Order: sequence, then structure tokens, then C-alpha cells
Amino acid sequence: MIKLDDVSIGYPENRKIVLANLNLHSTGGLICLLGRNGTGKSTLLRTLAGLQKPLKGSVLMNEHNVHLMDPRERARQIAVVLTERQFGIGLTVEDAVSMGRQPHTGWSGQLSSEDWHQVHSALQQTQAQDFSSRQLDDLSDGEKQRVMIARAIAQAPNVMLLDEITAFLDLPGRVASMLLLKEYATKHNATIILSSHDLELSLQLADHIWLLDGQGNIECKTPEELQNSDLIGKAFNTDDIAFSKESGKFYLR
Amino acid sequence: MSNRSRILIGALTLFITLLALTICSLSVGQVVVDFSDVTKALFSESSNPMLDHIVADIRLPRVLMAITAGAALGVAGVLMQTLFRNPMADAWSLGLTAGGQLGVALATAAAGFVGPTAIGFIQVFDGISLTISAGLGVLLSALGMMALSRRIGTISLLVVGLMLGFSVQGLVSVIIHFANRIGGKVYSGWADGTFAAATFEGIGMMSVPIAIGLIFALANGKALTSLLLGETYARSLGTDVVRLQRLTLLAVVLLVAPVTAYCGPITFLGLIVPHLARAISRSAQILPLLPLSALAGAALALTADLVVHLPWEMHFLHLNAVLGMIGAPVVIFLLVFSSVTKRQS
Repeated sequence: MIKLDDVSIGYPENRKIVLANLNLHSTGGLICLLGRNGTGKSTLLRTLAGLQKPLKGSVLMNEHNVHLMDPRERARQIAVVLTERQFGIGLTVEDAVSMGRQPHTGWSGQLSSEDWHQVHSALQQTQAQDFSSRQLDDLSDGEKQRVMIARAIAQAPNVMLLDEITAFLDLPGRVASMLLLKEYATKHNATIILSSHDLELSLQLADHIWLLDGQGNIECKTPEELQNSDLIGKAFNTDDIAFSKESGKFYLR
Repeated sequence: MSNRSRILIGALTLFITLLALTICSLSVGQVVVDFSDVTKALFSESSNPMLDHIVADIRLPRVLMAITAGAALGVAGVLMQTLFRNPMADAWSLGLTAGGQLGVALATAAAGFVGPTAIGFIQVFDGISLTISAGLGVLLSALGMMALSRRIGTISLLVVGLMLGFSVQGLVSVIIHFANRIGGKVYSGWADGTFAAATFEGIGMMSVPIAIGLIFALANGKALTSLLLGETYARSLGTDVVRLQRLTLLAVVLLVAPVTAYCGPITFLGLIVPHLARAISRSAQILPLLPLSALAGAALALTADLVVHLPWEMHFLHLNAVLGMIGAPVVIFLLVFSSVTKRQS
């Protein structure tokens, strides 16, 4: 469970407030975070992950403040998948996925057979087992993204935060990843927050949608509520395109 | 895991190679001493005190120095490549060695200008004071390169590091020129690295910081592995990145400074050894890379030293010339084929 208590996010060094006074509350499932470029999706995800301090307010996870947690404990609870695609030399797929177990292992990082089981199961779920001994650098962007999702699954978190992971995937790949994440959320009673530009897919697959309207507001709705409101249009319509409530799609004006 | 057996077999092979090289290095030279005489010279006394002297007093310190320095530079190479996420990072290629050299040169020159008491002090404590001056120089250049690495790419950083080496070489000769009466002795053989100036005292002295550096490296192996995914991922896995970077830099300084102070600049070694170790383990997990790199570094240093000390008719070969012959092609290969460098060009 995640709760935002009067949270303002942004960057203190250039006194930039991205979003102010957020109050949100989620009980779990697959949440899609939608909004146009520059509305603060990544900043919000980084703040939720505890990687960036909020300017004010607190982010609570099961009643614990994310920013005051021991980093190792936080890593057992929260996993992130980012758009970063440059990795150190010689890193194999198996190396990367087994790093998901790091928060659960001792000082040397030695994996137990249970840890290995989780790693292999994560590789299998993301269908990455066929290239598990290849180097990360040799993979396509889509394959890298699957590996990083596998790593997050191996981390066995209660909360998974994913930043635009579907950007490098083709349509079947996107659907497969989102279904996999949804399944994970149901099976482990976890919360998965996924920022995305894929509105149509999000409306079909998400349990909840957090919509950033670009004016500093965040709307938390179910896909049905959202589709029947004018909020999507408000957030995304331009002179060129508009959202149609009836079809759930955008059309060219 | 099969990875595990590969690492064990690799480490064992390297260890046996190292042993064989050690025996070769003790017996081969201008005077060839056969194996039985080598063991006699080491463990008892042979009939020939001249041979005893050659093996135990001249060759043995040189061999131990090569092993110690090679292991330290190999491990430092792994740390540098991880810290900078750069396949061509190494204490020498990124100018840390140059910083160390300059530190030593400045310290001795300064002592010379202060007067005889300072020179006396430096001579009495030469090992420690030279290591400390080298350490300061290594640390400063490491901090500078860290700051720079946030602004420029992998290849530019490499070029800057190498240029730093050239400028320091020039500066050091200028300093020697002005302080040659006091400095001349200290710098003999400094333009080129060598293990031949080794003494047992020196080896004992440098092994202390190197041992601490190795412990630091081992203790941070797990966290360093997470750094391979980038700083944000590392933080998300519970790694305190700032602390890790500081400790790793400290380990690099502890490993590199004594080698620079006692052996001068050793080129290429720390750059190529980690690649060899990764080829053996077929993984980038840092912890197993550390012993593999230490063994491979020691073996490579000893090989290069052995080539230099083969009974040539004339002495043309220098340590860095041999290392360059092996190392430069590896760097060219990396520049041409490594995806890490390709994507930044």
C-alpha cells in the first residue's frame, strides 16, 4: 500500500516544484501513470522509489516512510525499472537478473539455491532464459528491457515502479510485459506503478490510472471512470488531435 | 554453477602458471641457475655463495616485487573500470600513476630546496614518505578524473588521462633538472617502470597499504557489482553509492600509490588484466574477478619482467616496452570492437 501525504516534488537546487500538495492512496494492483512529456511522471516515480527526497510531505509504504527507511530494507520492498540502457562491461543477463537478489543476500552477495530459483523463474517469466548467458551490451533495447523487468521480479518487491518501459517494445511485447506485471501484482498482492504513453493499452489493462493533467493535478480513477470523463481530453488534446470518449481512441482533427 | 567451476579452474591454472614463472624467473637470467640450485639457494645454502646471492638477494626481491605490484595493479584495474564504467580505465590510462609520480617528484624536490635536514628525513623514511606523496598525487588526480568523467565521455577521458601522463613526464624531467643533485638518486629508472630496484624492506613496506586496499576491494565487491547497472539502479538495490565511490577510490589509492612510489609507472597492466579475468569467469560479478585479476596481474607482471631479464646480448628491452607490446593491441581491439566505446563515439 502506498500513501502520499501532502507531497510536493521537484528539485530544490533550481527551486523547481514539479507537482505540489499531492494526496494519493493506493491499495495495489496495476497502476498506469499517464501524462504528457514534462508533466513530472519520472520525478514522481523517483520520489516514490525513495531515490529523490520530496520537497515536502511524506511517502508512506505500509505506514513506513520510504525516505527514512534503511536503504537495504527499502530495496527489499521497492524495485525500479528505468530507461537506463548503458551498463558496465561484461555484464551478462544472468549477472543482471541475479543482482535483483542483492538486497536479500549476505556481504559477499553469494546466492542460495532459493535465490537461484527466483532468478531462473524471473528469467522464465520474462522469456529471457534463452539469452541468459549473453552479454547485456549485445542485446536489443527491447531485450534489455525484458532483462531489467526480470531483475525487478527477482527482487521480489511489494512495490514495483517502472518508467516508460514499454517505449522500446513492439505491441505484442508491450502487452506481454503489462500482462506479466498485472499477474505479478495479483499473485503477490503487490502495487505496480508504470508510467506510459500508451493510453489505449493502459485503459484496457490497468486497475487504476493516475493521470497528470499538466496543470499540477493528479487524477486517480479507474479506466472506466476516466474514459467517461473529460479528463483525458483535457490532458492530451491539442490542435492536432482529440480524444473520443465513445471509441476510447484519439482522432486527428 | 558451471561459472563457479570455471572460476576455480581458472584461478588454479593462473596460480600454477605463476609458480612456474616464479621458478623460471629465479633460474633464468644472465647466469642460468638450475632448479636444484634455486631450491638450495632459497631454503639452505648451496656450495656456491655467488649463486645463492644471485637467486636469494637479487632475483627473489625482484620476483616478489613483480608479484605484489602486478596483483595490486590488476585489482586496481577492476576497481577503476567499475568505478568509471569504462573498459579502458586503469590507474595508468586515467593519469593516476602520473599524479603519483608528480607527487613524489615534488616532495623530493621540495625537500631538496628546504635543506639537508629535509633530505635526511626523506632518505630515512624514504619508503613511507614517498608512498604518502605518491598517494596524495594519485588521490588528487583520481578526484579530478571522477569530476571530469561526469562531463566527458569514455574515450575523451582516456585521452585526457594519457595526456596527463605525458605532461607529468615532462614536468618530472624539469623538476629533476633543477633538483638533480638531491633528486637524481631517487629517480633513477623512473621514466620507465621496473621491479629490479626492489628490496625486501621495500616489499614489506608496500605490502601493508596494498593488503588494506585488497581488503577494502573485497569488502565492497558486492556493492561494486551493483554499480555496473548505473548509479540509480545501484541506489535502488540499497547501495550507498557516494560511500562506495569514496571507499573504492581510497582502495585504488592504497593499491596504486605504493607501486608508483617503488616501481615507477607500470603501463597497460591494470587495463588488460580485468578483461582477461572476465574472459575466464564469463561474468562481470566483481568478487570473483578480484582474485582472478590479482593472480593474472602477478603472472603478467612476472612474464614481462622475465622477458626483460632473459639473457639478451644487449639490454634494450624495458618493462613497459614489453607490456606495451601486449597491451596496446588489446586497447586497439577494445576501441574497435567494444560496444561500450562504440556507442560513445
